[in-house]
Amino acid sequence: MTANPTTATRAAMITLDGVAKSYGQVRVLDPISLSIEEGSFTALLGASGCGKTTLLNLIAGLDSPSGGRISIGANRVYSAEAGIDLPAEKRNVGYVFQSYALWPHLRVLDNIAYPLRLRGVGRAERHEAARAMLDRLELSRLAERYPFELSGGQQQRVAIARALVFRPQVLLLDEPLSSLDVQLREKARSWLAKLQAELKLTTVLVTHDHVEALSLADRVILLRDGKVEQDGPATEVYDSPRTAYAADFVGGANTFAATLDRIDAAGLADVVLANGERLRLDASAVTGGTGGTGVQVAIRPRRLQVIGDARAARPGSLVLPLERSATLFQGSDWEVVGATPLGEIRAITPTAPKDGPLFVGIHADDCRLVLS
Amino acid sequence: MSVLTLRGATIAFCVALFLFLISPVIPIVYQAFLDKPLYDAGGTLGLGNFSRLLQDGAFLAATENTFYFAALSTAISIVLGLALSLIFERVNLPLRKTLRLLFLAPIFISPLILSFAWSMLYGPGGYVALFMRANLGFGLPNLYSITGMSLIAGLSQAPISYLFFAAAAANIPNDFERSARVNGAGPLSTIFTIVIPLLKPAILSCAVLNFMLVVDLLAVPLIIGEPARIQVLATYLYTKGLISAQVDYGIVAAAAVIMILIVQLLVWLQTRWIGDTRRYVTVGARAGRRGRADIGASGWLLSLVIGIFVLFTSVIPTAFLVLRSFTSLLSPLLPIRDVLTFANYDVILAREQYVRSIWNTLIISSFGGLGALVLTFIAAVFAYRTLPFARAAIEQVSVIPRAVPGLVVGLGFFYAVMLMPGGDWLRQTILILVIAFTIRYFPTGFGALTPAFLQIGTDLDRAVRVSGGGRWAAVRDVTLPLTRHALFGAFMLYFVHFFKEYSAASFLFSPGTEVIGTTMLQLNLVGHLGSLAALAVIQLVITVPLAVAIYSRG
Repeated sequence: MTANPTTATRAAMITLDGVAKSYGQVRVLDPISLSIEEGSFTALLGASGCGKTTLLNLIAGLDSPSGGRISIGANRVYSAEAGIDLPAEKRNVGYVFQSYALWPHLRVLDNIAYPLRLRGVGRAERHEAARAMLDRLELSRLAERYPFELSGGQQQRVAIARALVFRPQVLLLDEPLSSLDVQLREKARSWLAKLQAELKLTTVLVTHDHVEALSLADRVILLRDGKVEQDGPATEVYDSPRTAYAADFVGGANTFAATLDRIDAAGLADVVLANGERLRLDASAVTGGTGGTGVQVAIRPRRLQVIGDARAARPGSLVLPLERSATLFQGSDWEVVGATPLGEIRAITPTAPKDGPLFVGIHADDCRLVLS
Repeated sequence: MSVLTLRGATIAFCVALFLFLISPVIPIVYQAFLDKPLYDAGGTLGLGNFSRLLQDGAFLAATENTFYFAALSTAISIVLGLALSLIFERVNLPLRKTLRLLFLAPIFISPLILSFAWSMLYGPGGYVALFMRANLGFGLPNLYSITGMSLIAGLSQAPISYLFFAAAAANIPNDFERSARVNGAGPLSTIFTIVIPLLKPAILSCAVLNFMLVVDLLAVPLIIGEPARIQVLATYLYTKGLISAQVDYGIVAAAAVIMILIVQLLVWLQTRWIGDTRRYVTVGARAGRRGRADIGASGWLLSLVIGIFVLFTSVIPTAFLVLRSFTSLLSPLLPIRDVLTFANYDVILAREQYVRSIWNTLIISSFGGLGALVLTFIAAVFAYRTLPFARAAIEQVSVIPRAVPGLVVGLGFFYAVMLMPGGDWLRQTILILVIAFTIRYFPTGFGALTPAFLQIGTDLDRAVRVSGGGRWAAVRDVTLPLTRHALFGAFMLYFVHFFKEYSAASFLFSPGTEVIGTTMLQLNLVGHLGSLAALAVIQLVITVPLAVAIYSRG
């Protein structure tokens, strides 16, 4: 899914204003301000311990911030100054736990009908609504089963059904696919994308898997050590990482240290690599940088050209000798690992690398200038 | 705001629970430093009681005896418990389940009944001793000695050691033993070089537990030690504080404080060693199901040895007690058919106070047990379902009674009601026993609920909250139904313990609030052994089936 051009005109559904979280002396989240638009699908992406689940719990009310303000729709649900901290049960958010947290003593139908029972909906009516939800998610035949009688994929769908049945304003998903095995995960991913597109429900997904984030969300917020590392449309985060960390975390990248020489009027930067070679690259990631600033040049493994003959390189490429240390066959591709005068690299190539000496070709069009 | 009120409620509960569980200790400590009985006005605080106590030869002798008695009993209990845990958990024996249950029998027979049975059977005037003297010309070694006391206490404690070691051994990952085997160690050398060294901290810790339980044990010294004038701290406290015509409150309280200090020291040692245990017993490794080894014909031999052992320690004494309850006098010198009678049961059922003691025991065990369960459940909810600090606080507070001997709980509560407004009323109802028993067994009940609470992921609770329910809805709809098996187990534990309890009760009962345990002690005092046996059998008939249901599950 790509960025939806209409998102800019939508109203904000979730607003965070200076929301921070500390446990005693330990700061888990630096003050974060952002707004999530109605109907959008946003991914909070990051390594474990980056604070992404904490942020989700602060939105849901399962944990209290150390400061700031949170609004959901028109409601202020948390404000440190005003002393507002609406408990989770009053926030009307759908939440899918990583463990799914289906109540083991209740049948699927009762699990799904439970939020309606808490809202005072009569037995017949809530069962009808739960059945309708099951129909919609193609789970009707599971209604009478207990959670332990379900597969992982079925449990995930039931958990989503339970989170949707009371028509929440937002849907929060905490690593909903991580307990599924690889093949199931791909199926569940496209199912989830389809569901969200139909419901047009504001959705926030927490994940450590960049593929999941890029494929499902139209906006990706990359977190690192409790701070926002990069925030933008999925395609932009992938194509134009701002930092070496973002480049590596979202899709993997080789990075080479370089020095900024100058930025010209057209916004192109001249950088000098460690071996003295020069490259001209788009400078938008390093605006404000002056001559002599240390920067990084990032390139995806697939964009490196692995060749047996230096003359076969794409015209205009920088060609470096490659001292190969390993070749790994991956099924459809080969991964080549080795050393170049610029440092260690990892390349992925669709054709088998030849025996004998190897070279890598690096073209400026494939490189991105990023901050260290 | 809701967090603030929750915090307030949690703190209030922790403080209330602390005060409740510590309540028997406060008046005792106060009395120990007071030179007059605490209900008299005008006493002054000082160390007088302690200096008088230390000049009391009987107290010093009792302290010395307590150490010998506790050390020897502990040794017997540990050796038996460890050996049988290694056998039952690792070897495929014929009749394994039955033998295991019979070995565990002293837990549910209660040391009081076991002591009566042993004394009637193996005591100097007991059936076996008389039979041997008549037919063989020599009797048994004198049971009424510290060694004899230690034997009974060690035997009745051995099942506890067994359960302790079985649990500790289950935490040793199978792979440790398997890797010893593939490296060339045989099954026996694996046990001696891998299993026992890994169990070392558990052995130390279990030894402390045993020592503590024996210091607290009243039944064995009272039934077996008193006839030979061997006194330990428990019987010193019992006779000085209860039987004596002129109760010296100060000196009794001072002795109780010394007892608390001894147990406190042991608890401190134990927690230190349990800390070490965690370092030994591998964290996180999967224990897995352990296969038991087949040892062929030697298995039959081992079963036979264990069978004979349980026959003489539990089966015959219990059977003898049953038989005794149906006879007017049981002696090898008289043919049984001449002495058979229902008179013992008639006496029990004809006397109002005996019948009442059975009813009281039933009411205390069932309704009192239920009350204790409700308190325990609330405590567990506060501990594991509210705020992080509550868990540490309540876990700490819940073990307080473990450091207070049962006799001292009785004595302290006896003092407490003297000071309390409305205490006189309380003293005349069985409520006082319910409260004292609840304090005494709270650590046991709480410990039985804890694993169930820890097993239920907190996500299940949080899922209720995001679905729109408050904390109460989470407790009602998720925690309660998911812990129902553990709740039932904890109730059974309370029921059985409340049913067997006699030591805390001995200070607290009054005409109208007798229980089976105190009635048995009184029958023993006046020498009505037939009725005593009948009452013991009635207790066994009610408690044993329940206890078998609890412990046969393994």
